[in-house]
Amino acid sequence: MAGNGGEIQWCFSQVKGSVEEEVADADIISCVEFNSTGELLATGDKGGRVVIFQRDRASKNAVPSRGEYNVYSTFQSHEPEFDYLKSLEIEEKINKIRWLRQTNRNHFLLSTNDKTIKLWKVAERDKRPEGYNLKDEAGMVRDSANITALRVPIFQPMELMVEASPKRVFANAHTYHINSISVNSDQETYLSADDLRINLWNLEITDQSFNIVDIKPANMEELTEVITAAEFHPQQCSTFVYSSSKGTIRLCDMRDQALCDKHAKMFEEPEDPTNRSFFSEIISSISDVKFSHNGRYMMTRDYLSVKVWDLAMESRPVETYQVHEYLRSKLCSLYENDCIFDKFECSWSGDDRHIMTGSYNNFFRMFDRDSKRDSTLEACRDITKPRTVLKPRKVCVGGKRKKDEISVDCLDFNKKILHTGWHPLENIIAIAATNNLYIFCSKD
Amino acid sequence: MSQASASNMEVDPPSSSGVQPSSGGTLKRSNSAPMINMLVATSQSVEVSPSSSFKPADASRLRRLSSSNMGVNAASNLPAPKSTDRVNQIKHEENNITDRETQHEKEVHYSWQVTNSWDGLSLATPDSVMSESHRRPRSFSESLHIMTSPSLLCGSPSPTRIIKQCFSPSMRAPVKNTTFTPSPSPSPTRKSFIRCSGVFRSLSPIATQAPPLKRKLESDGGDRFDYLSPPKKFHTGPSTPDRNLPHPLAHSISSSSLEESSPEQTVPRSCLPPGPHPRPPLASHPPHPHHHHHAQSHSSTMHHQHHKAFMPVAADLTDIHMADSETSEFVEHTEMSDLGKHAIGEHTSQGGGFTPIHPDRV
Repeated sequence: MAGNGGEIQWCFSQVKGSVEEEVADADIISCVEFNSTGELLATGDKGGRVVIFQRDRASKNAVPSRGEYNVYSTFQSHEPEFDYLKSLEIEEKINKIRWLRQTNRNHFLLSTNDKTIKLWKVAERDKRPEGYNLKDEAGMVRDSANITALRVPIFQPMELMVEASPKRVFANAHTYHINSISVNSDQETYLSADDLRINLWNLEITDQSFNIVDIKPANMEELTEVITAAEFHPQQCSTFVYSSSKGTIRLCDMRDQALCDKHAKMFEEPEDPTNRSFFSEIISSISDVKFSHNGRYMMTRDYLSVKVWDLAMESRPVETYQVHEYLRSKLCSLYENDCIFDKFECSWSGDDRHIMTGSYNNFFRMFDRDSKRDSTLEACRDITKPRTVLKPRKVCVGGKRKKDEISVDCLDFNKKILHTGWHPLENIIAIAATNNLYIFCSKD
Repeated sequence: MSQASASNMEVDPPSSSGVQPSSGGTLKRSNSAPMINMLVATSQSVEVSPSSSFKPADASRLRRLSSSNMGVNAASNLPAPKSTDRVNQIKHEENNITDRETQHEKEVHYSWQVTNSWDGLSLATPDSVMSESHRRPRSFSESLHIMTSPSLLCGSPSPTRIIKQCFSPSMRAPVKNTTFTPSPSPSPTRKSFIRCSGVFRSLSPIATQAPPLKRKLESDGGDRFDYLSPPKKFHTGPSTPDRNLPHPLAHSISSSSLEESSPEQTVPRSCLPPGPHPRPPLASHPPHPHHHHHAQSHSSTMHHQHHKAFMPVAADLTDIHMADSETSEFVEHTEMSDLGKHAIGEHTSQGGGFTPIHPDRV
């Protein structure tokens, strides 16, 4: 790890994707996820495709080790569909990807769009049988007159092929749009959450799921909040949390009762009356919730800040980090262009000492929980020299703009970093910037 | 007012209104909603960012709320919730199902009208224009949105079997789905399995059925997910074997390549197989050679337009070859081993970029 007091210096490692004037909608990356060892990195896009990258062996073993990933597999996970009952299109955009822990040589991941979750098996094949009796090497049928001896086909090595096949399709369980999936620590069940309900699935069974949370009111006119994210506890198989659009997080224990409508804990920070505005409720909506790796904390992302909560304390978060406070005065225009509804994700480092989240203008923010230092970095293609440490960026609010600073009004709100991932064991991060995937690694 | 400059983000009302933006620039009371409406009205011309186009937000909002255009809502008295606030979206969806259905029915009706009236179309003369105009929808806000979604025309495809999608990391390209079976002579129905079932959605499901893949060759003892039969409710029909162009993310720039000034590890995009091909990225819709072999014409073409189609490379010619004879897919295997020697940067004379399997056949 870093030796200079814990501060990580990030260097550019790779960028995936092309530079386009007009980015095709289908190429926009919609989720990023490392697997449990960090060996594989999966991305999903709006076109329903999943691309898996694998750590480059040579770069991993190099000294200093580099974080480089090569394309390992790509497949079409979801297709657009049409819901006849409600006369609505169902987007093929991949909302979430979650890996299962690896148990044998094959990899499994869950990918979901708004309505359907699929379990994919990603397997390698590097051998094929050769030496058939009835066919020759080109596959043409051999003339039976020429067949004089009997031979046993043997396996010969071939070019590595990675096959992706859907193993389970979990469909027709959600009336509303699925926003989260989370695999349980028991690796046998997982939950899927839509706006109003959370279902519990067994990975083997596709035609049944248990509904464990239902916040749909009897009268839809009384609907005031929706579920925005949900996650299982990393170690306790009966605990999960879900966040709402009103800024509350509820922790539920499945051992209490079958339907976990009554929460075991509710985490809510009282509103700061000085900051109250028309937009208070909108910006308090939590877009992402993530447990720390050690299971003692969880992190929530609302529009302007990231909060770290101790699971033992419900009254308020233990840490709050401002992501882009300079936008607080611009909320009206952000409401105008719908940016106020952007759903940013957040990530823990492997040792839970750092947290990271995205912002606009292709900026992303890093927070060191120990030293309380924060930095703003940019994902851009200006690579001067390799192994150059990324220069911190600064946004200036007031009148006087210093030389390298960028003014709030010049921020590009179309370049938003919503999806990020942090390698579970090393300091390698993956940043999705629209249609490009950036990979940065720490200098050490 | 706020129209001073396009890049001026300050949309707080002028100080004369009495609301002084505090350090946070916030509005003090929640019943300032009317104030917001005023701001909304006055800030129409202000852009937040000079280069913004907000199409993704609009598009997603449209997509989420309704399959038809928002312009139609004027006719149905449904003010769509402006925001992408999920709560309001859900309420709106629940309350307006019948209206959406009506809109959808209209679209289907018009699209059928258009397709059925192809024969009646001819070069417009002053006389014929008058007679045909009545068949067209009068309102321009009701655009003719032809749903190319295959499920629209053909219903949900019968879920049949697992179709593997294969990818070769060394070639950085999806490869044809080679059904890997221990039996050298596959059953006759398997030849249609090679094709994407998606192309033949309008065919009877029976014609495209093939026995499920045999997985006996799994030498790893099988996964826990293997022992169950293929999922019955498998609801997709990907035309994946046709998608042989690499995903845009295969295009990569690494810092290590900058160090050693080695060539970029990219799949060359400038070279594509000859013939109809899309320009990258893969959003355009080339005609598919397969379609020549089937009398599906209309529906499959429309279906194909819907797919963000990968250009089939030379591999598909062997596909055709295999369909005609009952030779197995092992044609692929021998060529694949040859391909191991081909670096990505090599181009054969035909200009095929990725999998020059049969240079002479192209």
